[in-house]
Amino acid sequence: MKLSKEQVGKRYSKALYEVAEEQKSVDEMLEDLKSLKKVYEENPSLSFALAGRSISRTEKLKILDTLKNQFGELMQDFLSLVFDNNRMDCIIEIADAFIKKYDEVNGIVEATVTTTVDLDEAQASNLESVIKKRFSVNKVNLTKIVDSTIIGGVIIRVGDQVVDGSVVKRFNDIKKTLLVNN
Amino acid sequence: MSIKTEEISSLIKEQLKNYKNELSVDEVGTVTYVGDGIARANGLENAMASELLEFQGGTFGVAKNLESDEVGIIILGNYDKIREGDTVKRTGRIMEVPVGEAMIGRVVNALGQPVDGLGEVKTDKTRPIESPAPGVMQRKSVFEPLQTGLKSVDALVPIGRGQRELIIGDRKTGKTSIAIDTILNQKDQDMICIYVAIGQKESTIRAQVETLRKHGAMDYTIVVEAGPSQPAPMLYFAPYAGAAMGEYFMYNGKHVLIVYDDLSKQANAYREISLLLRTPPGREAYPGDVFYLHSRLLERAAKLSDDLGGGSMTALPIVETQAGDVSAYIPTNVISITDGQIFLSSDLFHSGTRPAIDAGTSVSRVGGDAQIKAMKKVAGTLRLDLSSYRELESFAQFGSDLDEATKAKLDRGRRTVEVLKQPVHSPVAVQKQVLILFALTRGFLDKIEVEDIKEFETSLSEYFDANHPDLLQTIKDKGTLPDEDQFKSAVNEFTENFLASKSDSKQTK
Repeated sequence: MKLSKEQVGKRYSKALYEVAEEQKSVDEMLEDLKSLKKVYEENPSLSFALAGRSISRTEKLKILDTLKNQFGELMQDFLSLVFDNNRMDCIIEIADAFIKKYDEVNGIVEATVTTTVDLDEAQASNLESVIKKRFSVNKVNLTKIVDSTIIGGVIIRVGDQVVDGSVVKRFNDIKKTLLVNN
Repeated sequence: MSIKTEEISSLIKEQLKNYKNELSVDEVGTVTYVGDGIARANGLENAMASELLEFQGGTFGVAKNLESDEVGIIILGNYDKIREGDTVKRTGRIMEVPVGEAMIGRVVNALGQPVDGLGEVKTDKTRPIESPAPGVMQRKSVFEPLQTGLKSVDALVPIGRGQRELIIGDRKTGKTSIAIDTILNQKDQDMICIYVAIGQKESTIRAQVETLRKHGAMDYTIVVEAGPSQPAPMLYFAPYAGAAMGEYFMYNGKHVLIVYDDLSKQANAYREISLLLRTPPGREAYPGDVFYLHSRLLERAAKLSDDLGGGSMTALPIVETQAGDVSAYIPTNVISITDGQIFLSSDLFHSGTRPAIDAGTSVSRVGGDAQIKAMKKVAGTLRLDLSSYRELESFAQFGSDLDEATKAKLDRGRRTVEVLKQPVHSPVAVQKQVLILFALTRGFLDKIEVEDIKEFETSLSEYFDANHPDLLQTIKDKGTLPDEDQFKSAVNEFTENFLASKSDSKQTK
């Protein structure tokens, strides 16, 4: 059976992480992968170009060269390997899995906070400290989303856990209690 | 009457007071794939097997496959609003259906929602659709008879309360009719019937419900339906929903009859779901746990011990065979789980023997204990008569000279077959069954022409109603045969009158 992209991402990132650990360049790799992910996300056609059949291999190699020139030696080798194995469409998954692994080792969580208004510095750091305590971690990477449809309150998502304190949710709860009882 | 707005608002206020403003902490996953009635989601690491999950749009699902980083979900209801990337939330509950007295007389779908247009079902009781079957000490052996009202079933393959008797046969051999007739005969028997229609045409279900209503059987029947146009999960869950509704009554000391019509379609729906969820296929492409699918369902039918109220749930599962092949996967499985089977043969059906019960292959493994004594006495030789008749029948077709004994056997057999014929939706009370079978096995019918037997039977029962109601009452109340000589002379008296009137009418012709 064909491997899912997530499975591919897990395997490649594990290998890369172990090599990077030996070479003591984990942080460097992390930065590289994050920027690589950004490039991919900003240019959705890149994944198709590198993994598809629409352009020739030599053309692809050219694109790959420009892509990997900015990175360190290990990253360059890694990209070549991924390219040779025809897994260039899994770069985002590899990066995600790598970040996850890094976070796990260093006690970092990625948290998404949804609010109706933009949070200022003080509010953000306050939230961070609350999350740190609640999930007992060392560091929180906060991603802020502004969404007016939740009317008010905050929704915090950490991994698979969602702490929902939005006004919309309360309205829905009230709706449910009234509907069930009548 | 005007609506009192103040009253209503005070009620709402009261309910709102109970509403607690709590922060909810949920565990969620992300949908990665949506297909016909199923979805796969990433995350949800702590989800449990069979747990109810809620999709973003309010649709529910049930966790089926728990894999290392994915959860396979069976979607309940509409799945066209679910998109890749939607969130799925754990609920910590398992799927439940409404149960209770209010369900009786209603037609509901696999989720217990009414589909008969008679408004909502007013019940606040629910039961999980999957619950463990009663254990060894909670059971009692089956001893009370369940009268189907069909002479051939009650005499040859008697069914007891709490038994599981499979009805098996090709398409169009009258499987459903046996089940429906059994339901019709439960009138005033203190039974609650549940008819679970799985993958039956909606028009057929409509006709069945009309039949039940016309005969007054909807007063004690619940119909659970999952039509072929509904997503496969509905067909898969319908029998469990029906069993949950039945269990409620069983554990309250009542007697329940549940018909699963039919389990081969449920197995097909389960195969569809399993294949889409990538469970490895086995024989006939059914997943490995298709046996457990039916065994856990049928084990829930039981006769409970007196400590638990002595309730019972009798199950009549129906399985359709292809060209009489009982050695296919699903039929063999279900045969091995049940306490016997009623085998319907399409040859018999087309030759006019209806119900087309094949006496040779139909058995009841516990029913004998549940037969009333009178029936046991008159029906004892019936099976032997029939099988020797079937054996000689083909032999006698050559038309060679037959000795007296063989001829007698053939005559008896022909009459036995004739007596066991019965039109649909006309159940016969047990005392009347005993009466005609008594006349048959004691040889009174041997003198009657085969074509006159139907007439003989009706007049005999009318004669006894008018002249010897005490004898019938003895059978009904005590379950034993009345004084044999008295009974014999009564039947003899009638037979002679009948024969005399017959010869009279012949002469006038």
